[in-house]
Order: sequence, then C-alpha cells, then structure tokens
Amino acid sequence: MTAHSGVPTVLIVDHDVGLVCWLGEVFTEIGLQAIPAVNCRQALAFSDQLAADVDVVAVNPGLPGVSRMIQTLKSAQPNLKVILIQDHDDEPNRAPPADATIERPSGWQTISRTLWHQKLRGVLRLLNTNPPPGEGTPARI
Amino acid sequence: MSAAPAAAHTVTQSEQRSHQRYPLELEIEYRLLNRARSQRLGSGATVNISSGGVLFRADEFVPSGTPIELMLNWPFLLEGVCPLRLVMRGHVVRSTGTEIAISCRHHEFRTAGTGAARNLKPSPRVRSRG
Repeated sequence: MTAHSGVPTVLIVDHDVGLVCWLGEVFTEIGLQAIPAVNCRQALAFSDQLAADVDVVAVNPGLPGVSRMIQTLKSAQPNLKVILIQDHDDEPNRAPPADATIERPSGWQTISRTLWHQKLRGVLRLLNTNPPPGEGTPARI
Repeated sequence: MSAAPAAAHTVTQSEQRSHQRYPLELEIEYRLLNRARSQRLGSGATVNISSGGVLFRADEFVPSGTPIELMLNWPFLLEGVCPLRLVMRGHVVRSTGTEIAISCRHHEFRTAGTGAARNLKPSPRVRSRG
C-alpha cells in the first residue's frame, strides 16, 4: 500500500481483538494505515489479498508461526521493521529478532491515548519509519 | 481465530478483569440472532472493546442473554476502501438502558471480494477517548 499512497502500512497481529483495534486506531492517528489480523496465517493472507507493501509488523511473539510469518514478509519487503508486543512475563530470549518492543497493557491499567501516541511515535522514530508530513490527527485526551 | 469456549455463557468478574478494555468509539451494526437466524438489525457505537467482549451503545434495549452478532468495517485503511470487516458473535451479558455488554465467543476479520471491497465504506470513527 505504501507504493500507492506513500503512507506507511503497519500489520498488527495479536490474538486480542481489542488490542488490534486499539493499535489500529492509534497507528492511524499518527499517520500510518493499519491491517489487522488475529493470527499469523491470517496476517499473511491479508497482506497478500490486499497487495499491501507492509513496512512495519507489530506482532505478539507468542503466536504460532510468528518466525515464519516475519521471514515471509521480509522476503517481500527486506526493509520490514518488526515490533514485538511483549507481555510482562515474556522471556526475551525466546522472542524472534526485532527492531523494537512495546508492552501490552494489562488488567485494569488505564489506557492513555496521548501516552500511546508518544510511545508509538517514539518507536517509529527509532525505526526511521515516519509518516508523511501532515498525516495523522492530533492527539486527543 | 481465537474464541472463548462455546459453553462459557457467563463471564465472571475475574474473567472480565483479565481482559484489558480499550476505549474505542466505532460505529457498528448488529443483528439479534435466534437459532442462527437474523431477527433484527440495529446500529450503535462501541464504548470499549476487549478480547472477551464489547460494550456498545444502541438505540434500543436488548435483554440479557440475547444472542447477537456485531459487525464493523475496519476503519483504519486510509485509501478510501475498506476491504476488511470485523464480525463478532456472542450474547448480551448486561444491558443498562441502551448500553449493552456482550461476551464474545467468536470473532473474525473477513475480507470482501475485490469488487465488493471498493464499494464498502469504512465505519465512521465516532470520537475516541482515552
């Protein structure tokens, strides 16, 4: 999709549909477009069916098939950036190689949209995957 | 697809607390189901979404225990097309006025066909808080 619109595309892969929707909204608000999936097989199917050039994948490293999915995506997009969605108790050594990590919110933790805008902007800066100037909507509190 | 066990028709407080609720206000359509047949169509907007369920506002009262299907067009593609749709099935676990909590036993993202995808409009994003 990048090739058509100039807007970076993030593929969000997690079993928690709430988190997928949340990240979809926050990534969009900071200027990306988002493709959702609840497992790795679906992620590959959607990126194929939508003919998407995926720039970033944000994925739960505990999902079955995650390494193979990343490998497949990287074969199509060598510059793919990988963000792992870590649980608090994840063992870092078992995770696939990644460019960045974000921590999954837990329990009754209050979700701050502003904080997540800052967090994801910081991650994208780190990955050098910046949305086009003027894209995205201002943070809302 | 992840899905709660089909037999789990009650959501305990501890189960509810294990799911983070994400504040999202997205327009939805819903169908009240009876033995897998569509009974009635309505519309509303989500208040929050978790892995276990959805809280949404509707323009009518829906009694607890009602089987329900929610649909929303994925609103986060920016090219003016919406080839993805989130479909969630479950039942109403709480209904206070027009605010309805459902427990999801099944959810999936679906793609529309290439032609249909161009005709699908994304769900309007109502207004988000958080």
